[in-house]
Amino acid sequence: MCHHDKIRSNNKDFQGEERKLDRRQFLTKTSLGLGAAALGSLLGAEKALGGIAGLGDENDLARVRASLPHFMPKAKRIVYLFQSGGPSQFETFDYKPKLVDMFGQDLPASVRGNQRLTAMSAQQSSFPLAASKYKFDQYGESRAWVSELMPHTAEVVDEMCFIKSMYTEQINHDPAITFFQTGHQLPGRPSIGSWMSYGLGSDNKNMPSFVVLVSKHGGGQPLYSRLWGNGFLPTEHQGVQFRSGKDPVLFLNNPEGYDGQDREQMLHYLRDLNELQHDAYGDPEINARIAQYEMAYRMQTSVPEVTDMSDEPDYIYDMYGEDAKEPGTYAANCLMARRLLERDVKFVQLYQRGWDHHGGLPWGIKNLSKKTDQANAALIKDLKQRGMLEDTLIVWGGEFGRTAYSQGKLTPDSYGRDHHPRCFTMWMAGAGVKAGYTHGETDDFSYNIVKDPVHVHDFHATLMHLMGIDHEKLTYKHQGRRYRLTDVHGHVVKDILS
Amino acid sequence: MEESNIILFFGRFHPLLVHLPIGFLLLAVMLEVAERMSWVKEAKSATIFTLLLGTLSAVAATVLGLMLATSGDYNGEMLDAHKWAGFATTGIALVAFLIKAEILKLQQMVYFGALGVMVAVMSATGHLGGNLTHGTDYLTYYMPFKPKVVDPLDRPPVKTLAEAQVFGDMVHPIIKSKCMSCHNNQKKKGQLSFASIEDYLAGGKHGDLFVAGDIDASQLIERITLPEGHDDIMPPDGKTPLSEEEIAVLSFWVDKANGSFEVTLDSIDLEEEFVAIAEKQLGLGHGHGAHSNVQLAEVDSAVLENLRAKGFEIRELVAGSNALDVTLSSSVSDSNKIEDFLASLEPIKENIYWLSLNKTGLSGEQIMVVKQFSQVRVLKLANNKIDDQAVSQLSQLEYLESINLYGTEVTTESIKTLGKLPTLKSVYVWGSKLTAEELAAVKKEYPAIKIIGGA
Repeated sequence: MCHHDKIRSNNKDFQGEERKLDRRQFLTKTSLGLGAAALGSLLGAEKALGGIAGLGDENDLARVRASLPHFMPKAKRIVYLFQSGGPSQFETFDYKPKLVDMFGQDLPASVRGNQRLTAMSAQQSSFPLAASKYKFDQYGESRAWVSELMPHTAEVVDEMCFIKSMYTEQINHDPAITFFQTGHQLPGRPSIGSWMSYGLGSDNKNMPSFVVLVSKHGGGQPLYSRLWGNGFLPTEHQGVQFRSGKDPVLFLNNPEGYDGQDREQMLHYLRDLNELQHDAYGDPEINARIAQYEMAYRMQTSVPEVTDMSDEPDYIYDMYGEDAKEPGTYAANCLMARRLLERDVKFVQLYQRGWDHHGGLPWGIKNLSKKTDQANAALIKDLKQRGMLEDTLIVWGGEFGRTAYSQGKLTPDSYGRDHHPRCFTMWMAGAGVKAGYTHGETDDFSYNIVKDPVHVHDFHATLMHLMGIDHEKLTYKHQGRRYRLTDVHGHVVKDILS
Repeated sequence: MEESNIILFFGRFHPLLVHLPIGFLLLAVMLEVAERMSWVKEAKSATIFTLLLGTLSAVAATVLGLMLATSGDYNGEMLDAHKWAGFATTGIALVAFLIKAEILKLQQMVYFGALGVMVAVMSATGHLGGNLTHGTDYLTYYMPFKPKVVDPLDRPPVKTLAEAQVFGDMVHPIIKSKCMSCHNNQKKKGQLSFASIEDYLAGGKHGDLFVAGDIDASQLIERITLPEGHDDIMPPDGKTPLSEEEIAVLSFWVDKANGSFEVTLDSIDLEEEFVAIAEKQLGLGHGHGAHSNVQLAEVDSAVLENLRAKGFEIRELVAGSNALDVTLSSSVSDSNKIEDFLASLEPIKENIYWLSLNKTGLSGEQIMVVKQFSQVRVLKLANNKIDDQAVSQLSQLEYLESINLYGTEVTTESIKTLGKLPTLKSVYVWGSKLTAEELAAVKKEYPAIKIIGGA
């Protein structure tokens, strides 16, 4: 271990430390070390002791990666446009003309069944049906129904794959978003992007493989960094958030008054020190830290290059819309996402908040559609032109849908909709999914699924499949059991695969 | 969930319990021999007791065996032989016990004769039982110098797709590798065997195996296409499932080939997709797409490490396939360095499946290197100085499926060159020299190729 010698021989303090450590090292590495190894194998606590005792570690990255991808990937990258709050399926893609005739009538009890409602509308004396205030039409060769709120999206329906029959088990925002992003309703599991980063690694060593963009001007339910957290996976697999403004990644720039000339040298020395610490304690998080320092150093040049959008020509802004010129907007983030994908960032997780329209829905959803519609369509077109849609998957969707009945007072102009987990619409476009295709169907009230239900776990299994991962095989052993993104569930939705 | 069956539940303990009488009865014989040779003394009472244990456990094993036989999973003739041999063993053991215990007063010669016959019959019983459980070839499978067993349904390898018999060359080999370990003449699970054409036609305990021309009514297809984890899926949990291609072949046989045992491929209209599957299974042609059965040379990991250190991003497309996805980033390469970069790919030139050289300073001069990457499926050359002449060099890339020429100087000519490639599916020419009219014209001329140009 040459770096020990180098540091220690050059440093008086260390030489002293080394002498002190000898006896201690002897005791630890002989009696305790052997005891721990024996105990470790008895108790199966490989993770806790693996580093120290050198026991076989099934979480060992080289071992995990040697079997991946499990099969031919269709997608090389994913951009997930998360619409937080739960966009209404009624005013966007799930056309329900019967509701127009039934306007104001009570939701039939036979449709509702014994489904639980949130406390926000469970006390209502009636459940008056609300039809979409916005008109629908069919577009493209695929004749997909799209509301007038999404005129740009309507232009690209032949590239899109709609899933009208998504469902979840969660009825409130936090557990529902956590479920969608990590495969479990309770916090603590790794997010989708972290699993991808862990299993497949990075395609560009100068950029993180998992980047997060949170759009501003959202309002509504908050988002938390644990949604892109690494859970129990090594820390370097957590999402790196890019912010708008002059400091896109916090603490990446050199502090004032320091020119950064000797940064590389400093990091080398720091790595040697950290490796020493790692040899003594075997904590894998030390390796994660070494990797992150070095990534941050490389990002000092690669991030300004990707976030500087001055090289984008005008016609790009015409495509994405005027908003794209203002950093941090949804449109600007979509453009940023394309730039990140061009540099082979594997998973871009983009968020737009504010879809939680319990009241005043017609106004609210119009506003949000305006913010997002053009950019969504632009991203599809832009990636297609560049030939990237064939190996990039775009995913759009929220954490649940909304109810057929109005929450609060129903008038022809205004109504609200409560959370509805039993059915909602998502769409995908690009690598490996059928273009101009609609999967699944809901009943006349978009209250229940009548054909081809797709569970959140199925959605996760399908994403992994498209990236070449068998969702049942990518596991991580933690606290004595193996975990998967799909837990013990999930079936690949083969019908949507191209 | 199958309904519970108490008879079979206990019956399945038969293979476990049979070892008791074997052990006890052999021990009794050994005690007898040992006493004769004066190795032990006063063994008589022990011998009687051991014979009693052997007899009682043989009765128990026989009862459990009869219970297990009710499952109908075992072959009739061999099962009968095993059953009668088992009865005989039990009976002889009882006689030996009765003589030794002096309940039955007979000559010592009869006693010794009984012991001898008992060992022989018991060995036969055990052997037959083993064959029933593991199959007749289990014991001799690894035997040196064994005579070759000929499967009457085996056929010599075919040379062309047309002469391939759907059943004999495609269906039966799949059945043989995935189904016949449980469905043969010895071990007839569900009373179904695949040993001969007659057996195929006889079906199993749930009726006919297939209905010619009707996939939906054919149990053969139904059972192999049940959702993963279903109780009735075949092969059952723990056995290797059928691949999608194998399912496609079996479905094809029932449907398009009408379940015929003679028909060959030349008499059926084949879809392109099925041709690829058939070629792959029969080891014919070069196979299309990334699933081809071309054996790629092993790549030295040191070579890959070198290339990565140099600036390439390289990943294996499927673990163990040696098919590589190679990316050179515009941030590390320019027109001065590209030649050197490309030259360094020489050792892996037959392994590159996906190659991305977008905006790397590539120009027409280096295309001679690119054309050597003969396996390439996806080629990205966007934003480079590439013209029609350069593209004309790529006409040898017979596996090419997608080529990205966005932001290059190509014209209609390039589309015409590429249009001849047999497997090409998409061409990206946005921002090249094609006008909107030219684009519309080539789209019309090559309807099978997705040509993506300006907005």
